[in-house]
Amino acid sequence: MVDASTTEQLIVRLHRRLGFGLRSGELTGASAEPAEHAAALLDAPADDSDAWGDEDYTVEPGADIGGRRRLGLLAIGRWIDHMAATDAPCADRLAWTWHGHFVSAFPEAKNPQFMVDQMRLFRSLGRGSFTALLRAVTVDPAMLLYLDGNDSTGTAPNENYSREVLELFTLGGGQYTEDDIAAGASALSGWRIARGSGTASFVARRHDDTPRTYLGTTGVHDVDTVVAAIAAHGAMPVFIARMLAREIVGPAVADDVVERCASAFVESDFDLDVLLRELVDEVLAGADGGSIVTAPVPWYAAALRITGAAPAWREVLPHLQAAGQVPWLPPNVSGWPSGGAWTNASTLVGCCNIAALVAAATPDDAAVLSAVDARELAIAMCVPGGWSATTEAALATVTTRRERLAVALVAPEFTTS
Amino acid sequence: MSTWPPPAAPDPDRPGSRGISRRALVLGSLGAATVSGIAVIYASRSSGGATSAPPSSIVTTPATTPATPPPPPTTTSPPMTPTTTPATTPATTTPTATAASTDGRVLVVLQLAGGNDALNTLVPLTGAYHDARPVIGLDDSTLVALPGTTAYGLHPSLGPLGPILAAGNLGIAAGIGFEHPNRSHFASLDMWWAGNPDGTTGSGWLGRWLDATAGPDDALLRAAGLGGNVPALRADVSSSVAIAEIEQFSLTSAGESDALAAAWASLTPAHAAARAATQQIADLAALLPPTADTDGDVTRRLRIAAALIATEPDARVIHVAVSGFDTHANQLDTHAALLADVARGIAEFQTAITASGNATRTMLVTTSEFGRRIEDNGSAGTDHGKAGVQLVVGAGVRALDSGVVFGTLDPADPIDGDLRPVIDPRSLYATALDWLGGGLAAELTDQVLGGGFERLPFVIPTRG
Repeated sequence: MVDASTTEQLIVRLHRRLGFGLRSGELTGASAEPAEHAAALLDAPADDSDAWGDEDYTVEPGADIGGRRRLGLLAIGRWIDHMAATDAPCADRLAWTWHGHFVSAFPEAKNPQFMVDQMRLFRSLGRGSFTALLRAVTVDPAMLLYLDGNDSTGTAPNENYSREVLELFTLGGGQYTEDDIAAGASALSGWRIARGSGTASFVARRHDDTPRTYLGTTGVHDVDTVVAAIAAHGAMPVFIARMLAREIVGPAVADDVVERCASAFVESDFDLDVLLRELVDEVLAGADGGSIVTAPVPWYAAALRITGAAPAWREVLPHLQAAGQVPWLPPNVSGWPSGGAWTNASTLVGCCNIAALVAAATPDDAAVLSAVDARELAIAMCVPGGWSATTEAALATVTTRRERLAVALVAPEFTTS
Repeated sequence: MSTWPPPAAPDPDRPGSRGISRRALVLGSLGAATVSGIAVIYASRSSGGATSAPPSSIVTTPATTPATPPPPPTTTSPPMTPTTTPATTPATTTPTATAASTDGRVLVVLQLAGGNDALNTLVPLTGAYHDARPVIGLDDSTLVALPGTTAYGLHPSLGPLGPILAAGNLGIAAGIGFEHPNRSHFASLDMWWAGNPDGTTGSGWLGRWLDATAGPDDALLRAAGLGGNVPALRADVSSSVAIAEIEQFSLTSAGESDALAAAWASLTPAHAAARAATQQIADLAALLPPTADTDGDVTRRLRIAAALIATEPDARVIHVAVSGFDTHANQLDTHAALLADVARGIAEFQTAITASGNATRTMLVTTSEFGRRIEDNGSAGTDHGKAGVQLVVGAGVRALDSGVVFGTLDPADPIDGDLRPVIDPRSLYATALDWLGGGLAAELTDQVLGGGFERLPFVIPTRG
């Protein structure tokens, strides 16, 4: 339905995939050159502060579960507010992507500060060296808790992280053996969150330092040799390039695009910034992997960004849960589903309810409310091709401008790019 | 119109975790029946023949002959090869099933996501079990006794299933898993959802059945996914309604106007179906009791399933997804709470569908992507394994005739440190689909599953 065949549609797509969409007026007011939009997104000066600022989100072990939950949900809401407000959205957009890739979850991590720290790790390393990112996330406190590295010892290695790091995070199924998983678990044993400090540390007496063969590499015995062996595996560059390519170019990205970008990734010694820019260059050169139904969280951030609304987070949260996506609360270690999964009844109902809350909380003077007709509304919402006849008919059946906005926010022309 | 039965009074002795209760539920009047005649669908690779029940170190009563002869000791087909003539093929079959032939029956599939630990669900009363699980092994004296067998006991949290067991309405498939299992959650889930060992089929096993029996005027809630969308329901032409939580499943609860809801519904066919489903669910929700903080996901979602069955005569397939069974660490308390929710949820569900007059048209089966490792892992948990254990519950189950436990869990006969798969998951599916099809559907079942698979002996599909 929506394609990137026009320049404006390409600009909208870049902003959705490298950020959280446009603000009213940014499509017509700024440059009409997609490459300039891409450069602005990629090179924006970093934010002065991230979503969480100087606040401490630490909850001590054993703290009351209600207080822990309230603080965690507050931190999640602040992240989405920041996604909507930031002038440098690419850092948080990539952090969101890495959060859906290197999955950890708040119920297991328990301490909200651990999740904040992991998101900061994704913000700071998400466009840096992949091997540095992999090493950091392997011994990250939230990950150690989520995938049980914290409980893994040399005498009783826990395989949970060792399996998922290969299957989901770096290589994909079929690239390793059960022996590799066992060897990886032993080599990664001994990392533990030090009581009271909130940081992970290596405890030699809990570690099995026996050199083992892992992914065909001999002498693997610790986190650095595990990371090096994964980095040396031929399947890793294409696996990572394909994951990012599906996000940036589209779910049906052509194999040759992935392979070109993976080659550049290898030549750069796994520099994620190089990979990202290669992918964006492919999009600018016409690579089109098809449209993407924006997932509930980035869609909600985009709705806030285009409207300037500030609805009450506690009212939005249950509907975002119903829609099937809340940061830090993934359904399982493989993260959120993609593609057609976001057209199921629960997601549609959840997003409609959120759209109503956003419309009710949109400032009176917002362009999306003052638009005199459907055509102006399409311009205010940065929908370049205008509305389909079906959507235009739906917009015509409601009587108030806020209801009209609530319909437009869930119309395919806005949800899909 | 049914009313929801009041929740059972809290049982202060109901085990919530290890150590709270040492009570064993004894079903003494039922006597002991042999499990030595267990038929298995895969031959044991170690013995080359039928797998026997694990030796029990505590059985002192000689096994008596069961009322009905047990199934044949082994199948004639080689492991994993579909039998060409399923045991339950009736004399006459309809070449193509129609919606009418499904006889108003409804199948509830309860998915215990994460890989439920089989050995601490159905505990073999053997020394090998305790040797393998020094930390998380369950004390024999706490287990729930099974009618007709002393080879196994159930986790103490499953006590609420006692009356269903005593009535013979619960059968247990032990050692269930694909012949070449995968310890990956996702590879294994793909196999279970697709209903084939490649896991590559685009459709789900339930979706294919729904497609094969689809009619022109199917009810919107003919198929529902409670707890969310699952690939098992994925179909080419049939739709199902995914409902994460019913509390939020409304388009007008926040005061939105009917005009707005109608405008949303007019955007796409999927929006239209979603709105219609919300209206039907709103009627259904009025039948539900208020939710307490202590109600687990199984309990809450099976209440909704029971209400859906009571209010939608055309409901056929309800998938209920719950998670949390990936017990890598500190398993004892977690697993006890999970199984307590499973037992309470199923017990309340049976009570509810009986009260609403729907018990004879309803069957429930559990699924889970794998069982867990035989040995505990040193984090007081268990890592991913192979064979698991699944429950089949319903008025159509005749487990006292067939033996409550079919298959085997034998920690003394491991494969790669895991329980050995002896029953193909498609046998569970075939049994459920035969029953769902009203007993005239074996051919349809085989078409949906891509072959004829041995049926589990608990269910006589032609009996209501």
